[in-house]
Amino acid sequence: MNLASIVIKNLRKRLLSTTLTVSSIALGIAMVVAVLVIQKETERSFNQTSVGYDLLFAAKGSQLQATLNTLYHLESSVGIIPFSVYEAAKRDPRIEVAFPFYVGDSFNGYRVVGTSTNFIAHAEPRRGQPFNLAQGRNFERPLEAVFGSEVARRTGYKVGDEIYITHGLSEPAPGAEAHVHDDLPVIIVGILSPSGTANDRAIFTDLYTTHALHDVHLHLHDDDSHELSSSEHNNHNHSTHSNHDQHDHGHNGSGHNHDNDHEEHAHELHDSHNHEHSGHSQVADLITRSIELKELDAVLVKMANPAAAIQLAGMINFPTPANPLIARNMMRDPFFTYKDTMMAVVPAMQIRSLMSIVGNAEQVLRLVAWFVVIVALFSVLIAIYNTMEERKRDLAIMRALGAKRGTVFSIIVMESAVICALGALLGLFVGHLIVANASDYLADVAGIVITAFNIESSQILLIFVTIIAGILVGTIPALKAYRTDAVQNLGSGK
Amino acid sequence: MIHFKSVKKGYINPETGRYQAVLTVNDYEIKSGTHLAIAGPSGTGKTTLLHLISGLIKPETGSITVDGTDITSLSESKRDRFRADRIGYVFQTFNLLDGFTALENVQLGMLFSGKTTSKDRAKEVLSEVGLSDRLHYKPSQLSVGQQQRVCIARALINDPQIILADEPTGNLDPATSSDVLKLLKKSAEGKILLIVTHEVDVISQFENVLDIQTLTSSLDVTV
Repeated sequence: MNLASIVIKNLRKRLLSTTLTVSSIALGIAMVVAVLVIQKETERSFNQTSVGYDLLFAAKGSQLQATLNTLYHLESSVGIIPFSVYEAAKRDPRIEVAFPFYVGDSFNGYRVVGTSTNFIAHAEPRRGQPFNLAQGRNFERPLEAVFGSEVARRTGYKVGDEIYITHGLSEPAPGAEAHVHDDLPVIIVGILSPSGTANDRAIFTDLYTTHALHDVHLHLHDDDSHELSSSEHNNHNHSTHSNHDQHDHGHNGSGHNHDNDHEEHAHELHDSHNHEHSGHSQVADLITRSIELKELDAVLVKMANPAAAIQLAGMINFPTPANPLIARNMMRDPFFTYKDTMMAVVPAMQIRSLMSIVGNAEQVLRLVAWFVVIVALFSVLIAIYNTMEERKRDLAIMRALGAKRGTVFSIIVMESAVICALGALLGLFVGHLIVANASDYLADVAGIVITAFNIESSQILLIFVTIIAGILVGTIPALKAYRTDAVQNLGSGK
Repeated sequence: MIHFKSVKKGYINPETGRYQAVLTVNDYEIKSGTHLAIAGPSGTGKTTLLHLISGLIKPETGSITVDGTDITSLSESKRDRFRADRIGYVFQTFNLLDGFTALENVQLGMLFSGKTTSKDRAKEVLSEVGLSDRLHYKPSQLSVGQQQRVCIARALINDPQIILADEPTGNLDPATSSDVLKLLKKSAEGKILLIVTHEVDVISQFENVLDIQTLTSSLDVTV
C-alpha cells in the first residue's frame, strides 16, 4: 500500500470518468502526434530525396513540377529534352555522375521509370544512402525491371515474375480500357530495399524498354499499318509524351522521317515478339539494336563540387551576362546550346519553397491539435474537480488517519498526472496507428513515404509536457483537497 | 498521560457572528492506561475533546500535553504525524474507504505513519479482531459489526498508546455492540481508551466516567 495504489484505486473507482478523460487526452495527443509525424516525415522525405541530387535538367517549364515529376514520381513531365543532354552531362568534368530519366508508362498505377543501370548502382535516393537490392539483381538489358519495395509489397510480385506494362502514368478511368503492352513482357529481376523515398513506389527499367514500349504502343494503335517504327516515336509531339493518356494516337505514316536501318530493325522486332518461339533475350537484343535513344524527360545530376550547381544552373537559366568575357565563356559551355529549350533546377530550393507553403497549412493543423489537447486538459480538470465534493469524506478519513494536507494534495495531482500520462501514451500509439494507416494513402497521393512508429525525441517531450500540464491542471482540485476540513467531513457530530 | 490546561475551544456562530465556546477545560489529566467513558448531551463538546487530543484541531487557548509533548505548540504537519503514530481512531460511522478491501483499509492506517505498510501485520491485526476470513472483502460486503471491527483493527495497526472511540457502538445492535466493546477494551489494555457515548449500557461497563458538562467547572480533576 502506497500513494500510487491509492491513486490507482481512485481512478478505478471512477472508471467511466477516467476512461473518458484518458480518451480525450489521447485524442488530442494522437492528433498532435499524427501532425508532427506527417510533417516531419514529409519534410524528411522531400528534403532527403532532393539533397541526393544537386541539379536536374528538364525542358523549360515549372521547376517545381519538374522536381516533383523526377524525384517524387508525381505530376506530369514538363516536356522532353534531347538525349544528347545526358551524353553531354556524362562527359562534363564538373559533373560527378548523371542519370537519365524517362517515364510514360505504368504498372498497376506505379510509374515505370526508364533510366540507366547506373541509377540503381550509384544514385543516392537519400544523401549518402545508395539503393540496396533486397532480392535479385539490377536490370542489365531491355525488358528487365527492378521493383521499388512498396510496389513489390503491395502488388505481391516477386523476382522472376513477368509483368505487362500499361500505357500512361495512371490507372485508366472507370469504364475506360487500359492500354496494356501485352506483347512485351517485362521480367522482374530485382526488388529494392525500402529507402523511405518515393522511389519505393516506382519501377525501374532500362531506357530502351521505355522507348520500345512507347514505340510498340504507337504501332498497336496504328489502324492503317502493322509496321513498327521507332522513328515515329522520335517525331511525336513531345508536349504530350509526358502524359500518354492525352496522346494523339491517330497519326499516319505521312511526313515521317524514317531511318531505314531503324525501320528494318523495327520490322525484325515486330516479327520477333509476334512469334512465341522467340526468346525473351532475343527480343531484348533486337530492342537494343532497333531503338535509338533520342529524348528524355530529365537528367539528374550530382556535381563533383556541389557548390558549382548554382553557377551551372545560372548559366543555363539566365544566359545573358553583362560581362562580355563571361558571355564568351558561356558560349563555349556544352550546355549553352540547350539554353532555349532546357532549364536547370536545384531540387533542394524547390522543395524548400514547397515546404514553406505546406508549412503554413501544417501550422494551422498543429494549432488545432494543440487546441484539442488544451480542451482535453480542461476536461481532466473538470472531471476531477467535480468529484471533489463526493471525495471530501475519503480525504477527511485520510487526514484523520494522519495524512498531511500535502499528502492529499499529492494524491489528487498524481491522479491528474496519471490520467494525462495514460492519455499521452495512448495518444502516441493511436497517432502512430493513424500515420501507419494513412501511409499508403499518402504515398499514393503525395508520394511521401512515411515510417510510422518511429518515435522521436519531440514525441517523448510531448508526453512529458502533457504530464506536466496534467500536474498543473491537477493543482486546482488538489488545492480544494488541501483545504478540505477533516473534522467537518468525518461524518460525526460535535 | 494526557494533560489539559486552560483549554478553550469554540467557533464563530454564523448566524450571530459571535464567538461561541464549545468546550472549556481548566485543568484535567488522564493517566496512562485509563479507560474512560465520556458522556453528555449532544453539542457539549465530546467529539471536540477527541479531536483536540488527536491534534485534528487546536484550541484557541491553553495547552494539551500528551506524554510530555505539548501538541498545541506543534505545527499542523507534526500534529498529523503525531496522530498517525500515537492515536488510534474509531468512528461511529466506521469511516472506511469504499473502494478498499478490509486489508487495504487497515494498511492505510500504517501508510501515513511513515512505517512500511506490512501486509502481514495488517492480517495479524484483522485476525485479532476475528476477520481473518474477510481480508479481501470491501466494506459494502461486510456487516456493520464487521465494518466496525475493521475500523478497530485500523486503529490498532500502529500500536498507539491512545485510542479514541467516537460512539463506536452507535450504529450496532446490542449483541454486536457488546462484542465490539469487549474487543475494544481488550485491545486497549494498558493504553488510554476514551469512548464518547451516550448509551447507558456502554457507560455502565466503565469504572471511569466523565460527564463532559462537569468538566468545565472541575478544577484539578484527575482520572
